[in-house]
Amino acid sequence: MSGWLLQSIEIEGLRGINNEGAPLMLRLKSDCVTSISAQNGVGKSSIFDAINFAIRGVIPKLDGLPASENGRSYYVNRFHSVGAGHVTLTLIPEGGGDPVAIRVDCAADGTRTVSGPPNAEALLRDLDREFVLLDNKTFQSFIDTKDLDRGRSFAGLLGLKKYSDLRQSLQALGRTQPFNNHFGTSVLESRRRTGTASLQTAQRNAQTSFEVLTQRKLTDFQTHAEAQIAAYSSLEQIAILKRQCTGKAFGEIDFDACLEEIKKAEGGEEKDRLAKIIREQEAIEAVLNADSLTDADRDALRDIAVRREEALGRVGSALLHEHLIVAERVLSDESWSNKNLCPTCETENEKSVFDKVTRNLSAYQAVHDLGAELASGWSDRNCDCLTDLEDAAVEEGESCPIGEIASRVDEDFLTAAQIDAIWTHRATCRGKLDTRLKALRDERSELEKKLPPSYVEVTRRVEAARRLSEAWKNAATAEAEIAAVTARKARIDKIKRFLDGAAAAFAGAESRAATRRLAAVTPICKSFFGGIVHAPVEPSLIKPSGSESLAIALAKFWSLQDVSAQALLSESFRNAFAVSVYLAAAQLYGGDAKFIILDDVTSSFDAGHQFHIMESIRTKFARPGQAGGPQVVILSHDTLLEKLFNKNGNEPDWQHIRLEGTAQTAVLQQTGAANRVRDAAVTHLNAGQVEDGALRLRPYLEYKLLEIIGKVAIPVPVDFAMDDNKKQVQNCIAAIQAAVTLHKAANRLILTPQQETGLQTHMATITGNFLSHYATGSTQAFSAPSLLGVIAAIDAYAECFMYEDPPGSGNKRYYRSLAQR
Amino acid sequence: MPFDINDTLTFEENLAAFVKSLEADDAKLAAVLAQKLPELLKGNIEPSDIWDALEVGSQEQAS
Repeated sequence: MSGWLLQSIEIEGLRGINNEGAPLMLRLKSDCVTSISAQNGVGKSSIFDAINFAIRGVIPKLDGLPASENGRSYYVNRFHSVGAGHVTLTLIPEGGGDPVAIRVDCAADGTRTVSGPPNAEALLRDLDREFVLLDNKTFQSFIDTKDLDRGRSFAGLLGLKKYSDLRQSLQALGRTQPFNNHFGTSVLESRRRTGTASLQTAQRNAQTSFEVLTQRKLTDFQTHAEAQIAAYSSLEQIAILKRQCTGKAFGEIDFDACLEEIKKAEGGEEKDRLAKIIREQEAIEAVLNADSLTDADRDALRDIAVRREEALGRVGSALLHEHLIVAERVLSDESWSNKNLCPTCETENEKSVFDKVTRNLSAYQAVHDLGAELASGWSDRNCDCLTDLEDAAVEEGESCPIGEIASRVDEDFLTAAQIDAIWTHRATCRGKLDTRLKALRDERSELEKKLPPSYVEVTRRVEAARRLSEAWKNAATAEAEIAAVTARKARIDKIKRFLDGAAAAFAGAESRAATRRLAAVTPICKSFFGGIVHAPVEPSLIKPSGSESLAIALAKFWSLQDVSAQALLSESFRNAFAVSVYLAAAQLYGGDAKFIILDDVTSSFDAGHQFHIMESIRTKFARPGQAGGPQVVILSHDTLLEKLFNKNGNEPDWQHIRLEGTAQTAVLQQTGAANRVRDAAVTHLNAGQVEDGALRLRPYLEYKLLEIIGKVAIPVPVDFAMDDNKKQVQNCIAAIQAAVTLHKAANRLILTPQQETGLQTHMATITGNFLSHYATGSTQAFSAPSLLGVIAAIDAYAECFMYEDPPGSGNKRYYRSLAQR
Repeated sequence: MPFDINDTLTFEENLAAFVKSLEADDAKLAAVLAQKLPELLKGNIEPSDIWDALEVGSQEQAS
């Protein structure tokens, strides 16, 4: 099986096709070109819309209406009493096999429901190709649109839509911002910076403590193990500490127990107090030394904060930001071909809305970048040391403004005012700590004078060992954090490189395939174009290497070469160019859809060129003229073309269907249209199916009344077509009765006395047995025999407006008017 | 040789050949794409599902 042909289309309750209870059924000969013609307003384009809805779930001309018009509510036929419609496409496999019927229902709000075989949805998706439904607008858009948009839509024509979708998916996977957001790379970077700062602090503290403990520099040792041995030895060599050190690694030594040993050796509270003073003093010195910030650091952070606040002033709210992100997604989508059309208010602008949205988003990006720069500046300067400074300085119960601000630095971003406040509070904290430090030093000095010097020194070394052990543990934790972050970052970078490489490789392949397929399409396009225009004009399609764009031009225009197609071609030749491109692409890369619906595509052509285009379709493109070519269905209102269709309709390779009817009642094939509804009603009633029969009775009655009004030229009020459709029958009857009464009063009525009487009696039957119950919804009062009588009365009522021509022949004709035959 | 679309193959066959060509770069990650890309194209999953699967794939590789 290589594709699907269209066997029949059944429509009820969609667009201009009411057909309530009696769907329009179009049976198509798949091995013929099918032309379907009708006057304007009969529902021909509704067939196009219904198929569009079935395959794509949308009717673009309605979706394009302003939101206030609620275009989707017009998908269904507004005269249909249930307010629901459906279209059933019956498809047959090109290579033979059982037909497949797919029914697509449309609810009053335009909601689409597909039923049929299990793969019905997938099958409809496969049929959704760019050339399946073609109208003038499509062709004009192809010529007038920008090269990039044309190129993107052309990918579908070349059978590369799925490839284009895949390329876009790959590009989306590699898009930096969402990728980084997903993997939290900014959080990772923040963790790396914090880890690095913690490591540096720990290493600085370790260096200082190591020197106090061992009287040597940490840098003198090649390895951490050697340094640990040296630190251990320094404690272990002190006799009173030996018992606490033996059999333990440096990190396992209990420093509180060591101090207890000193306390026991000295036996005094003052020694204990000295140890506490040393610990507190060195802790304060550590936080003061860790804070190496300067006013220059403050100014640098302040400058970034000021610039960020200025940038923030140039953008709107977070809600607007979200709106712009969504707008950019809509505008960058292929389906939004007009980049000047605002997706929010649907106003067309002179300049690209997409460019404007991108510019506005870049302003948000500037705010984001400055926020990141601020967070990075905070981390890189190790400003988190200020929270330690504050923790050491504040008393219990006092507020900690630095800590509160710093805890939200990654999410709320610092303001210039907050930076000033932090620096002010920092000065206060440092002042407090300096005062405290001076008090501790004074007290320590007094205690050291009282205590034996050796134990003072031992206590100092134990406290240094405690800090060294802690610093090494902190350094190990920081190193582990940095290693974990680095490993994850490496994995993420590798995924990014992989995705970027994949996207680039596939984009290249797609571009080469497009170039290759375009080269195959071009000569066929030229052949079609030549067959339509019959002039020394040659179209050309140009695709720059590696670009999605597709430019159109004229390789030859009479004596000119390589000139602009848009500038020189008339409207009909522009359409001929587009038709040729679409047909050529469809012929080579048609895919599963082996049928094409053309809606009024020849309206810009004169009679001669209309003939040429029909002949090109018939002989060079469509089946059966081209074996394996697509099945073509042409919708047209053109009277010139209809003559051609009527002529062609007598040929075995052409099927012609003419439609008649109205959007309010029914659209039917011309041959016996009303009779088909009547026959269906009679069949149902004879089978005892009263409800089904009654459903068809009303459209039949409407059709006959409108037929009388049309044929006998009965005047109707100006609001006749727009009035409530539920009153349509009454309006028709009233118009007919008023016209009869008027002609009678003027003594100009052509009807015979029997016909005048018949009008009354037949209408009494119609009203008494049908309309009076139908109007009140008392349908249980219907019976099959009475409704069959109503059908006979409708026919008899219509015959009251007819005469025998010639007399005695039995051939009835409508009067030309109520005053003459 | 860079990957090229083969006009005689279906889209699904070309997709399979494409992800196969990515194995030279990273077999594990290519296997993830082979499994997940068709689902992404059908709209059954989001890019974030693929990113998660790729990270799991890269971790398995590292271990």
